[in-house]
Amino acid sequence: MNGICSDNNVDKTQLKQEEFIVTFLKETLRIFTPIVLMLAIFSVAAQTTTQESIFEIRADGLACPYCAYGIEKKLMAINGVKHVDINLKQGKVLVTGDEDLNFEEQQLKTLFNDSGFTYRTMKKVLHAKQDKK
Amino acid sequence: MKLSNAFLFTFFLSCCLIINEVSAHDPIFSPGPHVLFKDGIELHTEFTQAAQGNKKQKQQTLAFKYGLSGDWVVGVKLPYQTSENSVETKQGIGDISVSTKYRFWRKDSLAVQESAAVIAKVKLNTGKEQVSSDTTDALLGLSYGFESLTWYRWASVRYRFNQNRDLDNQATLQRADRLFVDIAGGYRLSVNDYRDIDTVWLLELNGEYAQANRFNNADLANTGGSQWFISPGVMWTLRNFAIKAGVQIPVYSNLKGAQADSDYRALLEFEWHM
Repeated sequence: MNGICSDNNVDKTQLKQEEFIVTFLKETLRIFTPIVLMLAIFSVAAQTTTQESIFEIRADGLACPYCAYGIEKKLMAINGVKHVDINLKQGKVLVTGDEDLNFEEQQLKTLFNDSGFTYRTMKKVLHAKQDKK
Repeated sequence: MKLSNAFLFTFFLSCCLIINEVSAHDPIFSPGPHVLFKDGIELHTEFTQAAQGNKKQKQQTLAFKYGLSGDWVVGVKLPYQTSENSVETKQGIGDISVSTKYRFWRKDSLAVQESAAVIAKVKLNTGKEQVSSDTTDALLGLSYGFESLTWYRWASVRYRFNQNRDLDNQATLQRADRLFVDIAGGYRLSVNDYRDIDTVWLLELNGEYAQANRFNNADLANTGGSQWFISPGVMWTLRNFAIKAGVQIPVYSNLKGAQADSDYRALLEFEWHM
């Protein structure tokens, strides 16, 4: 008889523990699920697709990197230009900038002439880029 | 009246050391046609040392240049000189010089630039008496350069009009003009990316000629003559910063009288474009 009572007590205790765990998990899910969902939504919302423009400019006379520095300096002074790289072998100046960045032919002719080189051609390439704000 | 050896030596080395029209990607001991970009600023400091017999001269120079256009640059140079021989040491701020270079011809093609420039320079009479030539001298020159990604070649000729010098006893020292002729070559072992260090090895042949100075309508002994130097050098650049180093080694000397032959002239230069 005592043994049966003891078993019943153990079962009741186990049941209480299980109930507590289930309740705890439910509460945890109830509280944290909206938070996790909100974070996920904010995260997706923050990921916007922006575009940056890349210009490939052909110029002649680029025989040394030191002398070409003037091109970099003058291009970087233009609003919207983010980065300038120069490929001496191909005679190309690569300009990365804002999506709405634009150059005019005459502007580049003057810029390259003021830098001591000869402007030839320009090609604009739009480049998609995923940015996390 | 006898002119002291120290005086003549100061003249001689001033002539030798204050000739550099070096700029940008030009040879080390002779001028090339390179100029600065428009509104560009060049700051450079150079250290030169020359030895001739028992005499030595050191010079530290600060220079500033400004690009008026993509083909025209103006500059000013301020040297600090130390001259020493077995008897005495003289030092002080030397003569300021102002210079200009105009690139009147340029032919650009893919990774190649060929150009020519005229050079003008005036050395003013502003320095401390001990190290100054006490004259205002003018220099005119012409330089040509061919630059590619692998090979460089340059040639230049300069003529310096030396002003006569009035001496204390109202006599006049007639200082002979000086002619400089230079050819130079450069070689780039490898073409690196724009933002990497670039190295160009240089070899120059520098010639100088001057007639004897004159005093009381007679040639002064131990002045004038010709010298030729072979000058190896190197230039390192990293975007807008350059280091140049070279040494002039005499290979032929025909100096008049009992002038000691030049032993060497060395130059180290740091240059910054902004």
